[in-house]
Amino acid sequence: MMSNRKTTLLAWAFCGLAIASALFGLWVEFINRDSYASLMAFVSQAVWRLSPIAFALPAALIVSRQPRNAVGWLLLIPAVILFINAPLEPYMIGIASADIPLTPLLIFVAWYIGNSWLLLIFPLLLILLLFPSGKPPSPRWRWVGYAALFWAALFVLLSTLTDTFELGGLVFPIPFGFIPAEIVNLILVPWQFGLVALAALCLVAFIVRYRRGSATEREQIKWLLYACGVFVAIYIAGFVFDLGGSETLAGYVWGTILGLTIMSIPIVIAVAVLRYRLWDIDIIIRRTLIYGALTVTLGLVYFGSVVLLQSLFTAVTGQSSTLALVISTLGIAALFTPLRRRIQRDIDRRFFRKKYNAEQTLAIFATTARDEVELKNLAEALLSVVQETMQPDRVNLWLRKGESKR
Amino acid sequence: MVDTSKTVRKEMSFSEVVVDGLYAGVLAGLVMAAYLALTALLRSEMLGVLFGRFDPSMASSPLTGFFTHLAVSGVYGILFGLVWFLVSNSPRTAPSSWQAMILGAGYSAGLFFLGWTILLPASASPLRQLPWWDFGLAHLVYGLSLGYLVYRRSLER
Repeated sequence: MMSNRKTTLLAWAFCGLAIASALFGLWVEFINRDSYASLMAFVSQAVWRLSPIAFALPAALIVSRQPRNAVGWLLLIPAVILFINAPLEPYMIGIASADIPLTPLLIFVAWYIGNSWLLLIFPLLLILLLFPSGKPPSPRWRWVGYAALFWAALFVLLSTLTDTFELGGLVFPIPFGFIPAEIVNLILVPWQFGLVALAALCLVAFIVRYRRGSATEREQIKWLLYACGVFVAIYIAGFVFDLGGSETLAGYVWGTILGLTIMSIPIVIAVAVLRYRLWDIDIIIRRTLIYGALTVTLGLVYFGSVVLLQSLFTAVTGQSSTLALVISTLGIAALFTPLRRRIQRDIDRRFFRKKYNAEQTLAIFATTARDEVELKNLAEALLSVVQETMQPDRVNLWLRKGESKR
Repeated sequence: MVDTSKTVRKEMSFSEVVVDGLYAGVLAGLVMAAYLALTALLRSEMLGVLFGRFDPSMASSPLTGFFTHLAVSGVYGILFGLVWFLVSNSPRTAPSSWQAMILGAGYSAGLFFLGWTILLPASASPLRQLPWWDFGLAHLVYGLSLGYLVYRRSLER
């Protein structure tokens, strides 16, 4: 067994390599920045170039603090794969277009790239199973981990024993492969169903852990759920508005935001595992809900207002006017505060009931304190409000005698 | 007994009513969209074609059209919030539920008239291809829902 110091050094060494590779890739992009259609197109690509750092740094941090936690090592695998693939993928694209004779090394590189996606997907599945403690929710779930490893190994075995395989439009013969590619493709159909079943099982394990876990474990899981939720929301928005692969400003902005949300997932995993400001997640979720809803609503109002005013100006003057934009901007500026207050109240009422109830109780007490003149009634109201909002084990109220008349 | 609902209405702030109008406008827009979808299905018209008519860029994208409809409904809701603030500011003039619905229906009739005769022809909108009575009834549904939703909200506050 390696000592903790050695494992830490190894993790940081991989992290250093990943950072160096990402920065080198970024530098290459920067040199070729003139080939991009716009600055946003460059930024969008640059963000993706930095993704190995987002995996490598949190992974190294977890490994150095908790070397026995498998989550850190699992995070390190995608970082290393991204680091290795960065120079190989452009090389393969170049070969596909240059019609170079196939050497054993080239076939091995192609075989590796054809299988490397496993090393991106399976660690993520295992993280779902093992997060945050590095162990399954209970010993009964261990077999899911073993099944995942077996399933990945089966794919590698099949892709090694097939006689040919295809990558980027090129067909590569495997020297010692003997299973016809058609049969392997046939076997891979049930294999894919098995992969979906494995993913579902890992998700179930994640939910089981949340339901049975301690308060701390739930907060840790909330962090990961939060990051995944933001990623899914951004992804769906791009899908709905057809922004994926779109070479427009909106498409590049979406690509950049999507890249950042993916990069945030390993970061929140590190935050959760290392328990850094763990209990802040409820505040972050609440603010995200409030400001997310506020942004969407204001965007909708702005858009509706511009459409309406432009059609009004066209009807009156026969041409559109920039005044529509000015009025709409002023309108949403005026709407910002009342809308935020309202959304905040609705979200607290629905998702943060305890806080909402406490605020309601305080508001009622404020009215009572304004109208009530009987000291006894006021004291009772005060005790009741303390009991409801703070929920202490015991509450006493001490009143000083003889100084009431001044 | 004190009529608390009227006392509460008296304390309404301008900004709160505007936000109420926005919420109610979007919800009423959904009700109107549901009505339009139902009548389109009865006419054997595809829903994509129906909502594509609302797309202001004339690209006939159903999704953009649907969101445009909701956005415009929200803005009309804000304007109705202003009307509601003026009408219900005094406890004596505060409308009951059916009066609120009639107010909403009258407001939407005005919107329909403005849209059908001025705004839609000026922008050469394909919404004019809809039967006028169908579009008018959809506005009536919008107005009735809007009036009722704003009234309900004023009671809940």
